[in-house]
Amino acid sequence: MRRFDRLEFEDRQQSAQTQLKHEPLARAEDHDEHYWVKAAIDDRRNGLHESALRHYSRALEMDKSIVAGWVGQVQMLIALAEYPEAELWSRKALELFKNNVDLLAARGQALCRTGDLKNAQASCDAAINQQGLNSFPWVARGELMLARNEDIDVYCFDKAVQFDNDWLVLLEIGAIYLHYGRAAKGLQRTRAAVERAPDHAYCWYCQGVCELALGMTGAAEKSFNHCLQVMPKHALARKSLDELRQNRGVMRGFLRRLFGSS
Amino acid sequence: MRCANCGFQNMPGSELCGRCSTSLGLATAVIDVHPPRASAAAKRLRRLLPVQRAYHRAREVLHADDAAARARHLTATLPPLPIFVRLIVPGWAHFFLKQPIRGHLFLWSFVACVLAAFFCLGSIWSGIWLGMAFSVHSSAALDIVTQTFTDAEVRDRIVRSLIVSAVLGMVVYWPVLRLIGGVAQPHTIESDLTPFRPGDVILVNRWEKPRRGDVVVYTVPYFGPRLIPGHGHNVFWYGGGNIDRVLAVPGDHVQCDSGQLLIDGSPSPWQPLNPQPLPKTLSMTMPDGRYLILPSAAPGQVNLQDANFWQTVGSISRADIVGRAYLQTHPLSQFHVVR
Repeated sequence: MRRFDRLEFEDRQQSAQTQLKHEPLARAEDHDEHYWVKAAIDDRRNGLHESALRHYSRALEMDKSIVAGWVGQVQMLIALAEYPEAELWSRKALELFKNNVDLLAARGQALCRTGDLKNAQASCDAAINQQGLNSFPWVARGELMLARNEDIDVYCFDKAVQFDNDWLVLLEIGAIYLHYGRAAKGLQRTRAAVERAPDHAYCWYCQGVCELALGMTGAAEKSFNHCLQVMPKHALARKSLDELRQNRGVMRGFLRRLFGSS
Repeated sequence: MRCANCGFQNMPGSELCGRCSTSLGLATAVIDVHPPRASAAAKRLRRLLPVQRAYHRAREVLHADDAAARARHLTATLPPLPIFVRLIVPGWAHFFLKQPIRGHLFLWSFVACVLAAFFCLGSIWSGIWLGMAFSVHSSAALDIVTQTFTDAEVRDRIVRSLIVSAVLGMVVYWPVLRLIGGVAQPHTIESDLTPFRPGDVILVNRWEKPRRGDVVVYTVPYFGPRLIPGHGHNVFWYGGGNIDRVLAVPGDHVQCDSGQLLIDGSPSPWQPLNPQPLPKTLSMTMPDGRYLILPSAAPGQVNLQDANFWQTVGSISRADIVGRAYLQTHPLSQFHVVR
């Protein structure tokens, strides 16, 4: 029944967060750790990083041997811009899971955000040298190259996409570009993510943010509107759209375009 | 038993994974699984002041410069960031490194020197005590640097001590002294200005704009006999440093009616420091940039009741006002807030 999946019914417009919030607490106790990891991944795919972090912690409360839970926590801390905490937590997790690929990569990413590129390089190298590679070490390595202004970031990110063709990988690459002020490159990746998953509000939202950073207010407005069509209760998109409408003006748009990121 | 980290199949009863050494009893281990979180204020502060990032960048830049090999060697003496930041307070880094005895020794020696300097403000001893406080601070910092790098030569240690002292002087002491010079400049009373005596030390805030009722230190540019217009004969005009209360600010209309001071028609709650020599009659509007300060504390004008005289000597320009006096620090028996 895949062809009916994209039909818009009223109840399907509710977000994953709303569904979780409405769930009775008594039932929540019955779920196992895999349920909470899945809930965390769902939240993450909706851009709800705070909620995803809580769900990862909940999964780990039940079973501390879930590596994905530890990795997810570090990744969410990075997404929430808590870099020293992410670095500390990744170190703690690495004491439990020695030389874990994803944890090493996550530590490299956290160190990279704090500016400690030397140790980040060591951590990323260690991750790449491990067996069982996936896309994340390449994403972290790409970020490191970007932080060092070396041109091979594109190669690393392409390698990550080769490993995992998921739209979330593209979106995370876009977010990294945006963090380093390369909104044009970020927009390229988020557009690819939108093409792959046009029914995900988070893709549209990230695309809007990139467009806004480039001063493309019209396109950004369209993206935020698309986001709100897919998820009418997307608070960040609503806020960005309101701000955009308040700050509308030829001169402001011109200045934003002039001084916006490259 | 399957390892959660690497997936290796271990023998039953094993506690650690044979391949990656991960604990196999991790699922039920008692470990805190809630990560540390940064408060919103901390995140905002990190955004505004990216200290950590700047620190790493400076280290990288200094390490990348091949031409300055010696400088690079010296920068390797920088302690780790958490310790480096704590050097700002003597003893703090020692407490962080679990050396409480040294920490207490440095901290309380520093506090004692600073307090001694404070109570000797206005005399040469203040500078001496402040210098000792600085020495204690730089010794504490140097102690940390030396502990961090134990294998350094004597010459390196001397250079490091100079660098540490220079950095502390520039980063901590110079801004603090600039600040103190503005808001707590010591002023020594040089002559008998009732209720103050020669040698009394008063702290003066130079950055504050004078308001009605403030006791201010000001200078009168002329000192000696002078013919007062309309008065008919020479009087001794007391010049130099003086201290008294601001009674009216620019734009105020001042009247003195049978010894009572009226500002804009209402009785003023403020009186000069010595209210006896108030003029019998006085009527004037304070011009721009001039304040009414009757020199009641200065000797020599007690018996002068002429309104013209008071108009002339009481109108003080903003440039002649040094600042607001707010605390007498010397002698200790007279330590009080100046009101």
